[in-house]
Amino acid sequence: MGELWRGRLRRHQKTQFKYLQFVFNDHFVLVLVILAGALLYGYSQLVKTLAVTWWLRPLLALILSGLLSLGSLASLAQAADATFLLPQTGAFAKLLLKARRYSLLLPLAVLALAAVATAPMLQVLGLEPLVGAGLLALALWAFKDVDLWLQLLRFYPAFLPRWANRWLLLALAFVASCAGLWLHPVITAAVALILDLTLRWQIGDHFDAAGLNWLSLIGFEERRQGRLYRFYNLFTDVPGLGGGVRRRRYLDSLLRLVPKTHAHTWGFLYLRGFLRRTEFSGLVVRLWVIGAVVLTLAKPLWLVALLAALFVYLVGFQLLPLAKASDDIVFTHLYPVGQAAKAAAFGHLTLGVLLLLAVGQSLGLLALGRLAAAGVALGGGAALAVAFAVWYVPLRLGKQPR
Amino acid sequence: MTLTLTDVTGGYGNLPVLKHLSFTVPDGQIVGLIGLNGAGKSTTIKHIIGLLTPTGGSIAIDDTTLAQDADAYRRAIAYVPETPVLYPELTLREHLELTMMAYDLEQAAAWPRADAMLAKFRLANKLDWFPAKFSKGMKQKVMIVAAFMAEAKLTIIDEPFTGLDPLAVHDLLDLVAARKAAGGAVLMSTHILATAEQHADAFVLLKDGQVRASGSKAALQQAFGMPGASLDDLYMAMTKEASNG
Repeated sequence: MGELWRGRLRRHQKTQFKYLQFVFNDHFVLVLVILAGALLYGYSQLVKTLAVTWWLRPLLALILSGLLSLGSLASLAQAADATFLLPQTGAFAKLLLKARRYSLLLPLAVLALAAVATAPMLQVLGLEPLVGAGLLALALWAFKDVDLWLQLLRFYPAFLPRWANRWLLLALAFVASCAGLWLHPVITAAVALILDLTLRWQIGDHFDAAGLNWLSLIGFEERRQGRLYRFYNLFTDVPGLGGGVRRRRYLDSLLRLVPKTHAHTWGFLYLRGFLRRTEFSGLVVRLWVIGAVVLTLAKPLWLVALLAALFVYLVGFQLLPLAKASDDIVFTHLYPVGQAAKAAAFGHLTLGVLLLLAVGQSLGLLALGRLAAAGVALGGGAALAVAFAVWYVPLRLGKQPR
Repeated sequence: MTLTLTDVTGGYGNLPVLKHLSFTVPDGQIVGLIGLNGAGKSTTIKHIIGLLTPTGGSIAIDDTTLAQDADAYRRAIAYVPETPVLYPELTLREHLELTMMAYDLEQAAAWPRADAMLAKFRLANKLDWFPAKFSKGMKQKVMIVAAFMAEAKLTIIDEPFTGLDPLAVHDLLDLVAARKAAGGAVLMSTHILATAEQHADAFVLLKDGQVRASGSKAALQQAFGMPGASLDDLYMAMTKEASNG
């Protein structure tokens, strides 16, 4: 099991590293550095002028216990495990223990940083900043340790009563943090340590590995990795990342836009793919709303035009995987319809969607009565939509081998 | 209409799986493609439908190759894959509509054919469902309906009987017989020898990517020097050769 875990971890880290390179590309790192600097500066200014009000302590406690909820158990379990490792269910617990320990690393680092960041706040609240932050860090670590035990033990349903779940733990952490911030952080640390040690002492005795719920463990890991890859997918193409499909009967009237003739075979397929595959339609709606709001915040007209074009470009870029979404289905290559028609059909769909988006995201400005800005947003968005669909899409799709 | 493979060599990358393969599937005939796992049946089919390109030799339907006229070549073929593959975003009705559009079929004429088959396979009330969520047998039936609705000159069926209930196997054999009666050609790869023996007019026995023997049952018996032998006997004889050599 140790060897299995090490092998999986190596492969997992290699994959993560590969994708993180795409996430932390030059532009994004630059943006992050500026953002972090602005955040730190803003925070330091805030602390200077902060007055102690009744909601400050609960808010801080809420943030801390919210941070506690970050970080899931990375078991790296695979669907085939439920078949191939079934006879090894008992020994698999060893792998899960290693996985739990590994899953602690990142959250502990984040929580330690969070505790350090509270130090100036503690001073404002009249507590010793260094001792307080240290005690809070200890408390958060112990709570996180308990949290990951609970996450692990959920897959051994016989072990813990149903009420002993994460929500209860987070609620308890919130209450203990409130008490710690009012009186002294030593209270928070004491509660967390007692909880952690009690749980560990209980587990030490009867960690019965036979009752592992394989299916929920695998389902949990698949959802966790799905979230991760959907995030990576914002930055690069993650192969094999299929979102769900929804029937969406209420959109059926839109399907009439493409006539059911031989020439429109690919258009028929693409329109349905766009409307029903959640990863594409959901993305357009989300970015449309964000774009409409962001545009209302921009004052100079050149910035409005630039941002409108930027959002259209972002959506267009995210739509590109739809062009290849059906390529692993053999009939996409067998139908007696030319492949050139396929690229053209995708270009039409992209043009339609992006033009609609250009109109849609100028609506916010229109509602505010900023007519000139709305016109500029529409113009900027539409210009990029046309350039993207007519010039970039054929270029991009033509370059890719079948 | 005749599918003709002449001296076809091909495979994946540089590794040849098929070596100098030649056989024909003539009009109005059902040809069984028979061989062990790994003998090259699916690879042969992939070359015929154009997913793989032969490194040597030629594949033609009525003297037309894929390179000469891709659309005409593809229009002549309907295909039922071994594992059903469906578009997750299309309903059953839309799968059939897409097939009609792709093959440029007259919808008014194609729907009655489709409806009859859907009724036969008890799918008529599921037209608005997503077949990607059906059971394997039901998905297979969807593939069969789509393929036979196209009334292509050549129908290629890869391992058609696995996963189908006995009633559906019967109905499929009826459809195959009807295609043959209408003058179509059918190429069918299968392991169910008894069924193949009963329904196919000719056979192609593949061994290690080569044609060991082909033709009617009498021709096979002659090739193996086993007069009166069943297809099963011939198959077992070929397997022994394979393990010896």
